Amino acid sequence: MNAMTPPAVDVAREEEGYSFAFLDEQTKRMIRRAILKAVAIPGHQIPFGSREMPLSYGWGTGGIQVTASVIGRDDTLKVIDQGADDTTNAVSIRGFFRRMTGVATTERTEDATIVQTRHRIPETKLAEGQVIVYQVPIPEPLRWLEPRETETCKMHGLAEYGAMHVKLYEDIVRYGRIETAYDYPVMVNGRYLMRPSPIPKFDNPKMDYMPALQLFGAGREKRIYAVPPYTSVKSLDFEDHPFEIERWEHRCALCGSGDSFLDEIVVDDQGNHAFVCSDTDYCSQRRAEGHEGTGMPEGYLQPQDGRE
Amino acid sequence: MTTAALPGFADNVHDAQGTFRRLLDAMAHPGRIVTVPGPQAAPPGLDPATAALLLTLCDGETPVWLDPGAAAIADWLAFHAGAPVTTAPARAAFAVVLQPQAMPALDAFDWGTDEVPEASTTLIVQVASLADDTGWTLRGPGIAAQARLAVAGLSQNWFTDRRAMQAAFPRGVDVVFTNGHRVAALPRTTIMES
Repeated sequence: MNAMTPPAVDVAREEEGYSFAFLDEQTKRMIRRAILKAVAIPGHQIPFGSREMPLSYGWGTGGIQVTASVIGRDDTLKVIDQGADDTTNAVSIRGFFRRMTGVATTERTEDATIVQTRHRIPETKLAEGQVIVYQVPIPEPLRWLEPRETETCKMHGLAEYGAMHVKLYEDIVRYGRIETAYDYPVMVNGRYLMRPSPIPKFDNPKMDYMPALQLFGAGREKRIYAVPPYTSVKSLDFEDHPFEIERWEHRCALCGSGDSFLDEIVVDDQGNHAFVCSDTDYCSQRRAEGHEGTGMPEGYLQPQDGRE
Repeated sequence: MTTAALPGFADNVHDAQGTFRRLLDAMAHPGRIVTVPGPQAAPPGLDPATAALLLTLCDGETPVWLDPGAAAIADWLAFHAGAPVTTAPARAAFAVVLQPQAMPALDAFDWGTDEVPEASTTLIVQVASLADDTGWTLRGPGIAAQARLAVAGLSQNWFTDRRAMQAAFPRGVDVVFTNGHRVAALPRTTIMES
């Protein structure tokens, strides 16, 4: 297990005996061709020959294969899982790329050239030239409405997305509002219905005309898709039920931010809880700038400072 | 053959990655001119950028169509990439055009289908000059407001053909122009105005 622990400093060294970025050249070429077509047809899912990776499907194998095909020696990689740089999935994927490429890694969003993410878009605005790679579990937005791939292909071919509008409408009839809170369906460039991966709908507006290139990889489902920079990404809604993002009555207990996505965490067994930023880099940068929240409730145990 | 014996990339892995990354940048920003380093040597008539793109993208899975000007690179392509050459433009994954003035009409190539639009030809068109401060006005995904691109040496009806293709989206071909070490892309989403 020791071998999996990445070194403490940010400079890594490429492990000998492996192809650069783990994948063989033939595989990278195949994935690169798929990525180019994905960029040329925004929001359309391109099938690709997804490989076995040294971790299970469902742990970001699609995102890893996309990153591995794009990454070069000069890149700086950031990996997040639910907004955090220090959670299991993020730590192990970052460690994997440190060993397989020797590239520099960072937690600072603005310093990264490639950001691989599971389920969040960083609060810090991404800039032109950056690439964000999403890990996607289910790429097909129509899958729970139409199980047959042959049919969903036709529906995309004909831009026949009425079923999705009916589903959202049924939500309104039943609950008075659209209940989808994450993986909220979007229209890309006015043509393709797309799953944005399980990001909270809070993040959907960030995708619209984002200056960075957005790439999506689904390893188990073997699909790659993309949104080029400066491309329209609209969340589905109705004139009388416009799309809305989540709002909180709280601010971050640590940095006091009132406009970032908050996680509610339980701090003890007495029912005490707190709201903190889901984006750990954004939160710590704000605290470094002197912003303060109301503080964590009494009884909260500080995490031990023994991070990677 | 002497052409086949010419060396390819100095470093297959990293030169292919660097070339791909710049091409991705060009494809994500239509009209933007990027520079690629190129291989150690290129067959006569092939610009470094054209050769670099072929070495980066082609292999045994990609039938390549060569225009009459590029016919002589077949051995070089077979040796370095193992790519099969097809005589039917409509069956090509990649098409290499060294004589843009005489190139077939765009609808001679594979446009894919509405359900599988990605099964379409990518055209690599080597041209006499590229400029991004004059020429066509480009709009669409990847372009913040508008971009310009001027390409020398295309036939009179190329622009009309390309404009007509826009109505067929998502079907269509993606075009990559090369000149020397420079590359600019025109994916099918780009809307062109004269």
